[in-house]
Amino acid sequence: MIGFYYFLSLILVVVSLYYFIVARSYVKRLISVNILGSGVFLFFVATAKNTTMENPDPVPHALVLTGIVVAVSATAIAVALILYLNKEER
Amino acid sequence: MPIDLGYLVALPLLASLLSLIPSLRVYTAFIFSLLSFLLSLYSFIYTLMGDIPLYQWIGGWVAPLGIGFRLDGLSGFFLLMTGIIGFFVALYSFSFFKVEYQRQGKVFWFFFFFLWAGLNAFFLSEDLFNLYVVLEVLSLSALVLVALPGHRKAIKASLNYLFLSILASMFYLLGVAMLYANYGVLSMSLLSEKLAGTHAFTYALFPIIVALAIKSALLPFHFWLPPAHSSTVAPASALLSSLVVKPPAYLMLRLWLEVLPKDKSLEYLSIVLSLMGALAILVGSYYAIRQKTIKMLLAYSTVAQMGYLFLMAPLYYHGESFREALLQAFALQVFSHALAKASMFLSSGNAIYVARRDDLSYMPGFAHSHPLTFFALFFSGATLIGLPLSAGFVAKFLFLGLSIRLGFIFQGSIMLFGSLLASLYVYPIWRESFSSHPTKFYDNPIPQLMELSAFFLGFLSFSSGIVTFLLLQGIVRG
Repeated sequence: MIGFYYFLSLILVVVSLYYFIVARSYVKRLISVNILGSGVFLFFVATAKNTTMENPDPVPHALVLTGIVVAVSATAIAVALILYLNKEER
Repeated sequence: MPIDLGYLVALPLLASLLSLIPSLRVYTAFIFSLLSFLLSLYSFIYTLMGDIPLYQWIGGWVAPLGIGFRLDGLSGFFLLMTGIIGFFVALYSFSFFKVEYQRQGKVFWFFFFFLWAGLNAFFLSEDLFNLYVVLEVLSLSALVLVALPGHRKAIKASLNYLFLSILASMFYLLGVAMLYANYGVLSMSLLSEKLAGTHAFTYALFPIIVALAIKSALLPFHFWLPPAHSSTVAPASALLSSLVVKPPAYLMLRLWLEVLPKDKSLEYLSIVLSLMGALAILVGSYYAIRQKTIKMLLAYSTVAQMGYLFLMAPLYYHGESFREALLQAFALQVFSHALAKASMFLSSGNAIYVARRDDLSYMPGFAHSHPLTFFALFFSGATLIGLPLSAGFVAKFLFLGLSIRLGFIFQGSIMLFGSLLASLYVYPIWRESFSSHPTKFYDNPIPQLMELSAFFLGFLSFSSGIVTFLLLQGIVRG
């Protein structure tokens, strides 16, 4: 079962990486880099079940939570900059 | 007396918050930059005499669960570097934002101190996940500094930098996840024990190395750097080009020398990194020579100078018997380039202040009208080239000796050729400064503080070559 989640995260990472490279617009790039992040987070959370113990390891969850916070704040700055750029253009 | 390492991070963070209060801004900036500088100077002196490595566990939680700070010779040296540059850039910025970009001056200090806190935390952290968070702190504050002037070019450069740095962070996190899944620890000292004799880490290492290469602008990923570092205001450029690109390279050295075991795949990796570094030196210098504006020239020169740190990757793999000399050479290369590049960007700010243009051809007669700024450019340029006595010379000399002793003639000769190329792109700045037709607006005086801080940084980058015996002693301790 855990292999399925690894596979899913691999697909997310590869597809979003492809779109990150080919996308020309800033918004598309922002979305693709966010999806890439989700793929990485999914992978990290899935590794929590990778132990012989009955319960999943809580540490990856805590780390992913931190990662999500960082990704959200980076996205906020990116959106602010894109909006500023559009206002300048008009 | 041991110090509380937390203050090295807490003090600049407090300063960044206080600088948001308009009436306190100038006092905060002055007092806290001085205090942070003195604190990093003290921690450097502590690494010379005290009991190191000094560990500090935040909240009293010890390693696998807790996050630790660790002060040793190398990190103490880099703290000193951050302190010196931070202090002089702060002095410069007092005058700079008084005469130019007043609006930007209101927010500059917040991100300046935030960046300083991030840098100190990076050099002290010894936990891979904590390093990820700090890396993000660095990039987020750096990209706001890139966007500071607010014109389209700067915003675009900042956005491109932001996307690449998020991408790099995600790669880094992927590598960290793989390491954690296999070994169950993130602290570097614990990891080094667990890695011995295993091979699984090589897969995790690949995304981490790619991430560090993007963040420190190694060749195929260098394209974000020149626009980002050249389009912003002078003090911000100085910080970005001298300090922000260094931490990833520092982490790579740390991993290589202290964490990773000897493995055949690492040898191939080191050769690939070395070739990329060699290309970075050649291509970066080539583009630097072709530039017509001083800031683009300096930005491409950063690409070239960062190349040296990666060019020497095979030495990190093979040179465990020369560990001390390696650490010294690496640290001194980083230190000399950081000080010299900061001084050059500050001087370029002075030149732009009088000429209102950043074309190289607009600098004629600079040596006659503004000798202090010219001497800053002279000393820092000499360090970039690696002229004898300068710190850059000592670093290159150490690297050269090591590469000959370990039999890496290719690396040594590329480094010498890189010095030659560096003199080709530094020379036009000097030549234009000496031409004998000072134009009329060059009579404008530059605020004294701006000239003096640029000069002292350049002078320190040169003269620290003379006192290297003192500096080098500390690096290898602990």
